[in-house]
Amino acid sequence: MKKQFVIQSILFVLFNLLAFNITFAQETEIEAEEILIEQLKRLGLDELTEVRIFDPEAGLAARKVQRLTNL
Amino acid sequence: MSNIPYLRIVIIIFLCGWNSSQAGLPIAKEYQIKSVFLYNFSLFVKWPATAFSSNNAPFNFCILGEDLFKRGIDLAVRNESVNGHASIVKRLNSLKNTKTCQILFISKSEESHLTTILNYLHKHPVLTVSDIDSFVVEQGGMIQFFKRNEKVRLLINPRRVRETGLRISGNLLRIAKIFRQF
Repeated sequence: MKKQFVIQSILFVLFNLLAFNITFAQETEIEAEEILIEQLKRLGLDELTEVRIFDPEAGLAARKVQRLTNL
Repeated sequence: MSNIPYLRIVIIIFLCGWNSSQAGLPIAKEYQIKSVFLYNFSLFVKWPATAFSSNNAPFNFCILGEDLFKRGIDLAVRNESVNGHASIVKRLNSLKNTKTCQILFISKSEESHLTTILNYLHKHPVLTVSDIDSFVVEQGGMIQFFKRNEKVRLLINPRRVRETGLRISGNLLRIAKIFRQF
């Protein structure tokens, strides 16, 4: 009975921690995007044309190709 | 010969300066950059008074078709106003209401309807923008985004912009590739 209570308590704490982390990560992501957009708005037109595009999928695809060639 | 160490130092300083100026620019997702460009168009293009239904009418940034901007465009125009017109973002799925837009971004999802859309807006003071290939050169659009060296660039047909009563700033034209129609 006592053991079951301890397990339930641990699971409850873990679940809340996970929920908190997900919310925190989402809020951080929104804040980061707000900051980035503000940063981009402060740039001159000529500077904006020099901003590099971040493409996470391109990196992933490149890594996949590399892995395949390593086989 | 004794100048060589100094020359090295000068080269190192120059390279460091160049690197830091490059590093000073952020890296952003494609549609985040395009969002800020759309916002900038509202600053570097002038609309006639007839483009607004009233003095209190909002300045409409419209996206027709699939919205790839997501939060970016909302963040870019949030709390902004253009000549006293509060900026808002409208997401549209049909031609209806496109004439109330000041800036209309036509998504790639609408490529098959492009001729109909541009004919519908012919001579209306709506700045048409897209990233569809051939938007400016073949279809008669005003501003096209294109990618070069992993950067967002602009192709503009100034004549097409002026035909509708819009006035485009020289500063915007200076950073763009110009398509001249004869």
